[in-house]
Amino acid sequence: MKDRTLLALWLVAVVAIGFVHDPAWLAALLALVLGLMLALQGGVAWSMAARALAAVALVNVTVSAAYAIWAWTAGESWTTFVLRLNLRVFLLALLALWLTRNIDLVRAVDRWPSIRFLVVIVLGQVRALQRMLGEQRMALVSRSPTRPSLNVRFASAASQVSVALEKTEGRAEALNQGMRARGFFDDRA
Amino acid sequence: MTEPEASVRTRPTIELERVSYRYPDGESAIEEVSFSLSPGERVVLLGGNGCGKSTLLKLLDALVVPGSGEIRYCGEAITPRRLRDREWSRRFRGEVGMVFQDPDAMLFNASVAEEIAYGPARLGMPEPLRHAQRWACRFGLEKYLDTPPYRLSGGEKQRLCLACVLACGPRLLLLDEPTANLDPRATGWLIDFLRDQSALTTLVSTQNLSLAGEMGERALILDERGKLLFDGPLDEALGCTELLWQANLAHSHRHRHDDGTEHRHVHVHRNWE
Repeated sequence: MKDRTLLALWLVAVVAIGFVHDPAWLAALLALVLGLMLALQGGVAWSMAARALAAVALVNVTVSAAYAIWAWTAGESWTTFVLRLNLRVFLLALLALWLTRNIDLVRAVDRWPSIRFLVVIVLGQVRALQRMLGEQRMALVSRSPTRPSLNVRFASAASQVSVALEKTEGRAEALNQGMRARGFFDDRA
Repeated sequence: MTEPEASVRTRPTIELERVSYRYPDGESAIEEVSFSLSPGERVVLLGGNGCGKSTLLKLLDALVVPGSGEIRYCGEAITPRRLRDREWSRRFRGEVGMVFQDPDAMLFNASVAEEIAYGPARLGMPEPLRHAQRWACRFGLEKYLDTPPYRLSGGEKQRLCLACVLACGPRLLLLDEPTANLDPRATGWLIDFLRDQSALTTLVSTQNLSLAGEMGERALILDERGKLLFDGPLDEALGCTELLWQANLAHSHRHRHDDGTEHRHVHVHRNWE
């Protein structure tokens, strides 16, 4: 029940945030969410905020810079858009992290078997990927007598992504075959 | 030999003292494990699925930090502070090599030659590419020098990972289920290779009892809670069915006799033919 309520609250919050366009209101909402997280979870809130920031930083900076350059050349204002974009994306990422930390997603969708089924499959894949990326990160540390340069880290990240994609595809295919073997799909269709 | 020299030779390569570790979700992985590995020792780490063998190897390679207890490398405690010390960390990472169970986790360079040369180059060895060529030849990978590692087969990747680690000249080699991706021929090659490395301290994790006897003289056995169940001669461990049963390393199955009666036997497959 608690999980379902929290999931519903999160969904309402995500939709509602989509309707807020004033950066001042978005900043106030962000302050409110951070304040609530600090009150409820203490110092963990800061590490969640840092992770949310790290997760969105690269894409946000790229999009913001591109928009700012375009707006500057077109002689238009860019501050409101850039502020709105960054605050909204950061707020959504923070709420998503809070959600994954605080609810059992499988239990939250318990009432809808099809969705639960999908969630279980996705979480299984996510867990396998997490484990694989963790191993790759540790292997890079283990193999590096000195701190790896940015180039090496880029090469390692690119290789990780390519291996992850290949393995995800392989796992998805194996899963599909496993489900088919167990009669999940209607082979006549 | 002077006294300090003798003490360096007899000093354990690595020691664990009452080391415990919990996964981030709070579940216990390793509980109060203590042992030490002496220079040149060949040790096999045995245990069933999920008993913490890989985690223990990662603790020894300072990839995860123990929740309690102490790990010492050549008499010096491995602490986050020491690992931040550039010189100490460089020496430690050069002298302790780990081969992961999944070879894909370790390979990220554009070619086999660059992959092997990565470690030696970072250690400042002269002519790392030439050094890499020599190791590639030793491991039968000379025809793949310009090939991207992802194009290799599972067994070739495993050999490449081993070459990458050995090219750095480690003193302690940690191998996580090294035969998991190897066919019997490559497995035989690996066993012979490890046997020839007399100066190297090796710790090999496996649950394959048929191969364990070929990979070391001493056994460490973990139970399913990550506690050290046994530390002693491998022959003694392999001879104790009850111990192996306790560590999930023996299996039991039903036998039906001619008179129709059935009963269960515990079985251990020890011999590799």
